[in-house]
Amino acid sequence: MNKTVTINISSIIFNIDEGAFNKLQDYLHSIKLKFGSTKGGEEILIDIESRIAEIFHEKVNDRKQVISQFDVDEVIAIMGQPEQFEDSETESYSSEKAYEEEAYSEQTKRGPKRFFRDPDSKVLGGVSSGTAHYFGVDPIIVRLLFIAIVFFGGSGVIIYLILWAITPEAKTTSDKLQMKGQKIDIDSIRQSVGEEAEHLKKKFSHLGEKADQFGRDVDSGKIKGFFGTLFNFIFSIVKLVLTFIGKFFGIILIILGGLFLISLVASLFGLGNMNGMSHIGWNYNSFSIKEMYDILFLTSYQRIAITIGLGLAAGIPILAMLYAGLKILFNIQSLPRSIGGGVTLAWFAGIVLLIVTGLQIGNEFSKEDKVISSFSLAPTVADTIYLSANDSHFPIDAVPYDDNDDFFVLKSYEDKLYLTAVELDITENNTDSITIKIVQEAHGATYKGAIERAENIEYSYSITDNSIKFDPYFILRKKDLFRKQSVKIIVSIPIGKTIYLDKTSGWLIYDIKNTTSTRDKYMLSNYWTMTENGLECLHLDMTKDGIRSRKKDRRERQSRNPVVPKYKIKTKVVAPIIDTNATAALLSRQLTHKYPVFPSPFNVFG
Amino acid sequence: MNIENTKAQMRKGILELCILSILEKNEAYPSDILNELKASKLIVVEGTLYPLLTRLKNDGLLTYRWEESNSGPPRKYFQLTELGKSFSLELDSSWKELQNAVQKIRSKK
Repeated sequence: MNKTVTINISSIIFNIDEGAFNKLQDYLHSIKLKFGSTKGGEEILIDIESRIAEIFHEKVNDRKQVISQFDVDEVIAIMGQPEQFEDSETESYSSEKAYEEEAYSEQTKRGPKRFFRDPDSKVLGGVSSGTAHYFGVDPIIVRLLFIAIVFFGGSGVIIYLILWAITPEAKTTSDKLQMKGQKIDIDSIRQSVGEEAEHLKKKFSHLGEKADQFGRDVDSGKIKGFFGTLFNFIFSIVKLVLTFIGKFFGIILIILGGLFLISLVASLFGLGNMNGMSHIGWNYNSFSIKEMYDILFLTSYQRIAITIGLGLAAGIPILAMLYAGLKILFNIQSLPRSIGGGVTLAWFAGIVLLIVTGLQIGNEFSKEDKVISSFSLAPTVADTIYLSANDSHFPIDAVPYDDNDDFFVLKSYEDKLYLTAVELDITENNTDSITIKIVQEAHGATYKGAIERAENIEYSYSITDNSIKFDPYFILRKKDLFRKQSVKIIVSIPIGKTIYLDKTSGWLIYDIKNTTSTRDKYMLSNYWTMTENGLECLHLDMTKDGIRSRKKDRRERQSRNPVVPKYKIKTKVVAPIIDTNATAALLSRQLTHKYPVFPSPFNVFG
Repeated sequence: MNIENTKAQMRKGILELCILSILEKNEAYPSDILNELKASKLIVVEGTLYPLLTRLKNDGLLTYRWEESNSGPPRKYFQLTELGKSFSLELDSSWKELQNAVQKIRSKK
């Protein structure tokens, strides 16, 4: 009677004698000892096991179910002891072996697959076919991709040329083998994943043994060795993770670099427009970078200098990014030091060019001057005037309504520029009439130039009865260039007069002081009266717009500060400034406006 | 001087040529190759073949595909790559040179 063991060779189950099992295990172990450390050792072992399974499979049938010691002996005789294996490569020619090992270790250092240009199937430089070999795809796909990205601002050409310059050509057979590498298919992936898993498993079990020993070794001072192993283990895991992150980083570098390159090429050569910049104040669609150059630069020299400077200062880091990404991914050779030095120098030259030209252009903005014109309305004009913006003459109807005052919109039309850098403020006037002051400002290299530009600003507004319509924009001649021209409107009103801010005046008003610290946008659609304390909302616009505006203001104040401030209830309305007759007259005029009089709008909701 | 050792050395050199020649005719799995090699008494123990096949495959001379087998484990069917074919041709010409060389030396006796 013999004990049998169930074993699994190449996924086939065999019952085997215990003695035969031990013999087989010893035999496989001896093979493992010989090949385990060589390249493809695992694979050799798997193949031999598979052959053994095949021979065993022929041995067993319905009557004979157990592999005996005799069968194992026979298998060993067929397969041979490892030292009988006649393979020229594993023979002990010491010099040859040393050479082999050296070549092998070099290969593992460099990785199994390298990025080469393929001289055998090239169209231009063999870059595409080399790339195709590296990723295991058809070269035609890579070529089509290159052609496709040529249409993104020509960056395909640049990337191709860079790859051509930095990639070595596969000259020797070993280069070509490395270039092609192992074919990437399910088998090779499964194999490499399997090997890696096996490797990790071994490490873990090794660690387990070590941990067992650790308990016994605590006293004997062998802890150091354990921690050494633990450290090595953690280190190798960290290295694996870092490698993975590195490759990922490389891909991101290439993608970002490519995108930056495309946008840089597009902007330098004026292919794009300022679409993406509408958020920082330039108007939609119609304003190209070329136009921006036109209104910013005095001479074509400045334009060329800025283009070259930008190209070098921004382009070189982008190319360096692409290069770093490619280096991480494809293991390409480093550039010689001299090239790196030259590139750094060129980058500095670009920066210097940018600074010098920037200073020149900055000088164009250094002097500021203004032209002021003012106009007084007759004192007899009505006590309430209506302010609104007139946008009907804007050349292109794409003016967006936006009550965000921080930015201005610029539009180019024929030989004119339209800017919305118009600001309106309301102040108190000591005389008894309403005054409108228009301040036109501009910058220049000299005061003379600045004042000329300020005079050349075309700005208009219209007054009909008690309503004033201001243009939300002013017009420049393109040849005056953009030199931070702006228009400020100051409407001064005497105490007792009221201004209604139409919702279109959101284009104009900027930071108007008032007694309730109401923000500009919530001042719209409301009546503001000049009191001795400043502008105050003394009677309410009960139309939808007015109510909505006040509600929004209240909501925002609440969200900013949950404790709603209590407004002082004003019982007196502008009484102290005029005699009783005048007060009566004022009240009666207010009544003719048919607006109810409230002390302060904000405690209606409070 | 061990005569067996010298014989083995001689066989080793031409084993690669023979494997490539077998595969040049048809793709084959290890047992097929073994049968042919054994029939020509070129191989003593089967274990010799596996390291050799693995090395040739890793050098890019061979590729393989898996095929399920009705009797036993799945089989690795090997075939020559383009590189393997040119490699085989070169070995073939150098084999012929060797043959000529040996003959020449012998005929001078």
